[in-house]
Amino acid sequence: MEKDQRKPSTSKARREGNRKMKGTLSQSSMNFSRKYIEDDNYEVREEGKGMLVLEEGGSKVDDLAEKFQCLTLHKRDTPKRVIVLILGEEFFSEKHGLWRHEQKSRAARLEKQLKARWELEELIDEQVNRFNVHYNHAMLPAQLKDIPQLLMPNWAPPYELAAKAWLGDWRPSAILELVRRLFFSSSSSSSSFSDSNEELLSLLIHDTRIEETVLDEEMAEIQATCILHLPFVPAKIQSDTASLACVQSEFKKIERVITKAQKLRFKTLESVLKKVLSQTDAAEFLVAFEGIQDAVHQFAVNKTLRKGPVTVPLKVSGSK
Amino acid sequence: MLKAVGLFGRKKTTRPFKDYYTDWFNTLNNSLLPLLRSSMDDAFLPQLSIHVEMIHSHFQSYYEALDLAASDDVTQLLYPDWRNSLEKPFLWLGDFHPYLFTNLLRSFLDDGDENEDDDDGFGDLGNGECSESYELFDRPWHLVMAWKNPSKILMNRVEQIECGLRLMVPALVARARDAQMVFIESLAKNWVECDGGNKEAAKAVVAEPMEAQMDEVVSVFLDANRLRRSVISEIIGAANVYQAALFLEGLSQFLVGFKDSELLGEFQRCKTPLSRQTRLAI
Repeated sequence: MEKDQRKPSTSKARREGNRKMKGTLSQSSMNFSRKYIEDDNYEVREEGKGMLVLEEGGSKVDDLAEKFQCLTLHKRDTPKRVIVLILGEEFFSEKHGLWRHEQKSRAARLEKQLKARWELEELIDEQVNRFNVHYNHAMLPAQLKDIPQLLMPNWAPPYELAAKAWLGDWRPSAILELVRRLFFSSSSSSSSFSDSNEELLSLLIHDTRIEETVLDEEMAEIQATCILHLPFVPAKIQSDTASLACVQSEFKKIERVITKAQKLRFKTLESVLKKVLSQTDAAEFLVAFEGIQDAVHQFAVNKTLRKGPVTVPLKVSGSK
Repeated sequence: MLKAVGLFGRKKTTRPFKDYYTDWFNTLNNSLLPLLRSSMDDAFLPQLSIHVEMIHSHFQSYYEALDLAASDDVTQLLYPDWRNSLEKPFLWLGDFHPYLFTNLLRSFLDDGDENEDDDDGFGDLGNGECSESYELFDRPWHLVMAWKNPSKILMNRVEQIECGLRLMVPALVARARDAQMVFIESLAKNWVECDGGNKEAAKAVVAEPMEAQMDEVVSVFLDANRLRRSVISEIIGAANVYQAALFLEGLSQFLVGFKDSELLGEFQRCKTPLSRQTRLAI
């Protein structure tokens, strides 16, 4: 007992508190009191980490120390039966104290991880917003000459465009296919996905393909009927101003297709990042997506440089 | 020295497609189209037949050249930098959409019987009709009447061509898409295996799937050209000389129209925001 008294720990205070209760409080109120004291301890420890107000918990510890002084004086009066009980209690309460301590430090570590997760979520949201700004605002044609630039961009070599592009940028269903292959294929190591996510992805691929086909057809319709509307065929030749107006009206139709295509691209990426993939996988996907884009681009640049301009045999007729 | 000669000799067997196209276009614009027009005005049938055939085989040779160049690098043909800003948006798999040829044909047919039936969407273009009449009045009677009462055989042929296109065009689009999907599939597989992080490894990851994809892209491109080529041939085959002459004149003029430097200049200079252009265009 004397040994115990020298331990200046909060668990000591609690043990003393318990003893005091045995001596001074009725048996029926014991459980409540113990709980109360445990709560006090908790507050003191938390305060030590700078998370709670010191005053209340601190003053309670002082109270307990005072009460302990009183208790030691009456120690000899305690019946033997109760001492045995107290020893058992002591053993468990020490265990309990360690348990609480461990739980708290685990909670703190978890909290740290949660914070990291919130940061990750923020980063992903930020990226989604960037995609939104990019596809739904920045990369929309504003003037006539933007349209050919967006459909056949000169910042991407033909090799890159042929490999992945649809109406000038990533084919949305190809992005989804990439997600499926990277995260849902059996060979993939990080398959922490539920079947429902995979189903959602399949549905998304199905719907996106339909939307692509609709836009393909819309674009083909413009390309197929432009000969009727552009002012080039003898029957349609007009004054210069009227000619430009015809061109504008055709380009306006194409602008609508490009706008819808960009919207689809954004919608696809947003669904992947917010619905299909878990947060960690979304982050992992963004890293892989960037790496893959870069690898494809670099390869295409080198390939184009090495290849030089496309050639045709001299013997082809009709060139002279 | 010998090596240099060897290189020089090898170089001489090919030329950039861009140069080929420039020559091809100039031939069309500067000699074949004027020849066709003059023989159309003369309406001297044997000469007209010859010029129709010349311009037709000129188009055929262009598609032949595209096919040959495809084995060199199909990607540059799909995204040709020798086409100007006006043309680029209207290219489908590297050249005009096959429906464009049948639509041109339909426009003649519809103009031909527009007195009887004017509710099929072309009448509302309005603007063109005036100039068309002027031009037609200046032309020989055979040409003016070429598309009036087209033969049943021609009409059936046109319907067959269109029917074929309705089947083939979506199939080609699907194949082009699937080629990209196969690329993505094997790219992703390689990426997972090499763990992506390493830059050098990443390059190797891309190379093989991309090369494999290009074989299918070439095949799709060749089939698209075959389709374009055969549509033109079938139209010429089913039409009489006057009809064929008008069709090829229209097609050539369409190509030439894209190169109109004044229009191109106005196009490049046009600063009107697209959002405001619908109203202006109407």
